[in-house]
Amino acid sequence: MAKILAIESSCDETAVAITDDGKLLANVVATQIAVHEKFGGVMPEIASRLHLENITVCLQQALDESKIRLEDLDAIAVTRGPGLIGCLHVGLQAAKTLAMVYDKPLIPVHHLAGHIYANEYIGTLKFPLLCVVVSGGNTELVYMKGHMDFEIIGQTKDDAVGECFDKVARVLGLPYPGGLPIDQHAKLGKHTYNLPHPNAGDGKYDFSYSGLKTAVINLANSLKMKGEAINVDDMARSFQDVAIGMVVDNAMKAAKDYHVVQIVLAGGVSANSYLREQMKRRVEGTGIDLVVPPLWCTTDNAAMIAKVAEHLYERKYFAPLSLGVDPNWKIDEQLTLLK
Amino acid sequence: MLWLGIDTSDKNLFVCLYRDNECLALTCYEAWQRQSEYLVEDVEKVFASAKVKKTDLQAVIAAKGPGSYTGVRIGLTVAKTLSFALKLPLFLVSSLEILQQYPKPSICLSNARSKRSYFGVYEGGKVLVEDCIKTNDEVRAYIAEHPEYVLCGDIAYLGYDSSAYLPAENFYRCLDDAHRCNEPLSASPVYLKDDYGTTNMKTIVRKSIPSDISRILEIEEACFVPPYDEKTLLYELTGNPFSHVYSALVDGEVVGYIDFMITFNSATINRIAVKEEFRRKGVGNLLLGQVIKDCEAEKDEEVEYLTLEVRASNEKAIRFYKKHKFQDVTVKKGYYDDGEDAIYMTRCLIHG
Repeated sequence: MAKILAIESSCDETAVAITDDGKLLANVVATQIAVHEKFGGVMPEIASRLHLENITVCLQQALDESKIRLEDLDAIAVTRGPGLIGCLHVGLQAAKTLAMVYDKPLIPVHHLAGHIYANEYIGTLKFPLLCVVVSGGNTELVYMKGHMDFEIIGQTKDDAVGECFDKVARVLGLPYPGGLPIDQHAKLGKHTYNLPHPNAGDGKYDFSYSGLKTAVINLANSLKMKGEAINVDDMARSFQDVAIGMVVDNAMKAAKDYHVVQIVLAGGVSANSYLREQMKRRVEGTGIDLVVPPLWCTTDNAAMIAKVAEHLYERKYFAPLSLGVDPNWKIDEQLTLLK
Repeated sequence: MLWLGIDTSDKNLFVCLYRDNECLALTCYEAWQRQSEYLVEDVEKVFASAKVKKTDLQAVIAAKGPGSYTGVRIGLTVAKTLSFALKLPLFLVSSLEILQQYPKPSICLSNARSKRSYFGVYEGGKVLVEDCIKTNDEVRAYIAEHPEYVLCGDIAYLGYDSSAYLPAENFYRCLDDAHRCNEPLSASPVYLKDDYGTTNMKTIVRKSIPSDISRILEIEEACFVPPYDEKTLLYELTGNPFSHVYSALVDGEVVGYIDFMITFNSATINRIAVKEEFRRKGVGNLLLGQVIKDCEAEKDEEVEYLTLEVRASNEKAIRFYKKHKFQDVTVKKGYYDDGEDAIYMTRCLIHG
């Protein structure tokens, strides 16, 4: 094992973490959410500017907290993608500079691999496993035969599930981002609205959310025309049942077919209480182990990047200083990048 | 003193390693959009070829802009991180200042795109004109008025011969207290807020936010009878799930806005208005363009046509809509509260 410094800057959090033999010594996150809230979403140019303003401040703070000197590190890890290109650049340049100055190995990490491996802070990954990656930008089922071996076996054909939550929240007049408010209203409601279970087509474990979103919008429209009020609690509940139900159904189907011993949740939507509850209920009696990430791991941080880097360090998976970012990097290319 | 200089603010990638005014190693080439890959590797190479230990470095100096936003950020991230990692003083210099032909009076220029230039005038150690953005026509006029000044920079885009690009000497001159960065941890570039002239103003269209309301209401008062009241506007902004409201901003000020609704296969423009003094400058086009963009982005159902009502007497508006391919379909008699007729216009979005 090793002393690793990791940098994450793929979206709207500037983050630096330091681990020593897997132990988290510093986990600094400078969030930009308050700035972007004003605009109702992340503004890439502004996010890039803030990363540059924050980056060395975060590095300094992480060194202070961990009491580790840069010279003593064994490797520098960085999120190479996917993410916003201008934002990724800042983290990459900082990581490359540190690696160059102190002749340390540079480890490129996939952002979603980070979300998956964040679960190692609370448990041990057991293979074969199925990872349910659900966030504002991703809805994927990732099958893993062993460490760092990622195979996408199911994904969304259109919208990501988190995106769908945001749109529906807007129709119901709830704030952005929509995940938490829908979750809260759903707890108060009943499943009274009839919403279709969209068919994702050919892929056995694929998802589709645009149809469900349309159904909610059309239903809201027609109620409005008839002058009937929408029961927000009931609509949130009806929607969430279907949206999360699709994740749970596909995950359980894939878990059975692939004979996995463990299911791991990852990404922002894994904070959803109904998803957590349903998955717990459905794995009961199946012998499948369920790992639910702590809430701090469902948002972006660099601790999760360091976790992936520990595994890559053992494999001596080191990139040259000419490494570039890749805003569309695919997770199954995590290990093939340097081949 | 052993110092490293970095400039990536335009298409060049420039790195130099000097001991005082003696060059130990230098690399300089065009690397447009590849600076992110090559810069750190080049810094390493410069140390290797000079056979100098990185830990012996005593100062870092970098160009801080104005220039390409991404380019400047890449150079500055590396400079900041170097200064942080080795606890070195960080010096920041204007990307235009390092173009000057010291000590001659120098007009320093770089391409700001959209027919504009980053512009600064330097003479000896002095700043004659602070860095700013000018339209290329204004730049040409300034040059014509100052024939004795030297033109500096990569200025083929203006039709002039480019001058030699030699930032190292200027870097060396700028290793002084005036250019030293007091807070290297929070150092950030000079993006140069656009100096929006009247001929070439830069307009931003973005979703309206509640703090825009007071400005929008002012425009409402000036443009519509009866105007929206605050409650109606707030509902359009935050309450009505089908409405899309966007503001057009020039230099941070709301100068126009649009309110439209997308329902099923059609979109209806409820309001579009631009402040009097900002009309005929393309703001309306941008706002209307936003409607089309949102309609095309609608995944649930294809949006087939746009509709609107306009006062029969509002000839300017009708001309504007006709220019944008709207056709009058019918007259709605006595549509407005004061009895005036409305022209009902539509524009088809499919089949071209």
